[in-house]
Amino acid sequence: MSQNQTETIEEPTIESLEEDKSTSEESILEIGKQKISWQKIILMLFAGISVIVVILIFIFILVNGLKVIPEVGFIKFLFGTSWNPEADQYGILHGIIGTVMVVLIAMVVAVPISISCSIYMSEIAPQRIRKILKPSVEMLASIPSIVYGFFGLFILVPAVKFIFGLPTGENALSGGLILAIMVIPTIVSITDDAIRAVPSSFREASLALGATKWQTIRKVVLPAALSGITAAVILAFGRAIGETMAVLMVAGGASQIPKPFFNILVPVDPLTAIIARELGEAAQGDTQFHALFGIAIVLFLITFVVNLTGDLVIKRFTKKFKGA
Amino acid sequence: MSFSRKRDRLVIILIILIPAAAVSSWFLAKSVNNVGETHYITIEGSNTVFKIIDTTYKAFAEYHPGVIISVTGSGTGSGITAIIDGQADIAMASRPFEDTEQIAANGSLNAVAFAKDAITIITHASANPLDLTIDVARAIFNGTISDWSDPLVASAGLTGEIQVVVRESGSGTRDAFNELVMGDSTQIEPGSQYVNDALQKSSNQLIKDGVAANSNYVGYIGLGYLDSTVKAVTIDGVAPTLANVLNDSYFIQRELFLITLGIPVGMVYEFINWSMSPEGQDLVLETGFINVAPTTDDIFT
Repeated sequence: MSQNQTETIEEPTIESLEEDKSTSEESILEIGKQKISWQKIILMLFAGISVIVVILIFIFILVNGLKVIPEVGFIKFLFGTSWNPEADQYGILHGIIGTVMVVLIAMVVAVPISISCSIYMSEIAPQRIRKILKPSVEMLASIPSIVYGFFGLFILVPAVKFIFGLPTGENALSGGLILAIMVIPTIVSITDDAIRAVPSSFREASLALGATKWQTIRKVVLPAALSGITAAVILAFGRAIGETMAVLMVAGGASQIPKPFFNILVPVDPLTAIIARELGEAAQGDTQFHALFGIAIVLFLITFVVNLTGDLVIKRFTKKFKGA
Repeated sequence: MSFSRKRDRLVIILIILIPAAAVSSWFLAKSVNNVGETHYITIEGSNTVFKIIDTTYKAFAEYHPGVIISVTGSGTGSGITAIIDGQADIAMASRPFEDTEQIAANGSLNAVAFAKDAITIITHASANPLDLTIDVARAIFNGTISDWSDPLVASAGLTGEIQVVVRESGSGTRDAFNELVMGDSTQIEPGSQYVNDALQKSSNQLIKDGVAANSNYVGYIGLGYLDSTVKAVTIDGVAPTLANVLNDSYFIQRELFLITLGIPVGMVYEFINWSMSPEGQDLVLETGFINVAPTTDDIFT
């Protein structure tokens, strides 16, 4: 009651603010008091295009790939050990194992190298060395994957064959090594950004308390950058799982499950290579065609689960270190 | 930010003009296509047959100005799918069409055998000439014989474990090889499957490159791809040559087809007809395959 009586100054109301707006912007849509300008609509449209494209691709793959379940059977498809389209056998277990093997090798090799590289680049290297190092690593990312495939086929494969005395150098190890080279720039780039995003006050405080530079890096900077590093590793994981050209040329393409299961020196057939090699010859509408799209769904799901896990891990880490 | 009336008008004019320009240029392009004698032929299919058609279409286009031909080697299955879908006029095939494909085409697929291909088993160029029976060849590819020191293959003079290289599932070359050498094109029969660690490559060229670079590799390619970088294997004493395919003494051989939807008419008929003519069959020979109809030499001698 008393508040109303003391109100003498006219405060700007919502209506008067909107009046100012309408003289300076043309609006073509009015929803109640909300006016949306045509710029906003165009921007919304472009943003929506990417969402629509992803949804359409997903639907396209689903429509063609889900048909494999009635035609082949869910268990037989995912866990069948025999892939022989001529004989109506569409088991992709060897493909799943092939993908798992090359991706694991790639991550085991790439993660230590990349994180060490980013630590060096962002914390230790003098500015002039960093100026050369960072663009060089980023240039690795712009090399087309088919070029990596050629490099793998003509340089890496004969080397692996010679070093290990194998009948062929095209195996899970070669596939994993090429993938490692391909994901290193991804991890280095994002980890570098994450490390540089750690406020320098953190480092200064640590050094002021008497810690050495290495102790600071290990116990202060890296934990603070952990969510970014995790994001980098997850992204690299996704890239490694989906890489096609390089593993097609280098991993061997043998429809087998290695015996014993950890033997990385025999040819394997990652899921992406199966699709790339056989899609050209599969008759459209055929069961083989649907099976290949089924593999695409499996790849989609694996990447989705990996990204989801990564997001959860990042959230947990962020809570842990930024405080509840 | 303020907009003047002029700018409004400009925007509206653009919004109307751009789609109008697009639509009218589409009509224009369509009418240009129908002016004059311009024919389009789209040919898709087998990588093996591509090696022939890639040469013959150029010669054909010389005789028929105004014909624009596009040729793509995307795989036999792909090519047949393309003509059924109406995306292509002619399918190149390294195998006869299957029942499922004929059903998908409502019974209208029409195949013309215009050339023959022989599949040769190849070893590294440094090997001694190797002669195999079909049974021994099958034993190599299904892994029963796994080392070059085995008495049945020792005459090649190679050392180490045998590494088998084959084509991918769905390849016409693989189907023909499975049918003729492995004993079962569906590879269900025991002994007809490839050895577990056989490398699968997606083209003749890749197999040839692999065998040329590794002395312990063995693989198979179409005769048209044979060159001095690899050594061909003789079957029952018969070498994979032109003469031996024509006189039917070389065992691993098959027919190559041009397939259309229905009986070919117009320019498509002209092309297929020309491929069977002496000039066309000359080119089949030139590209390293085998003719099925007389060549110009045959007519004039």
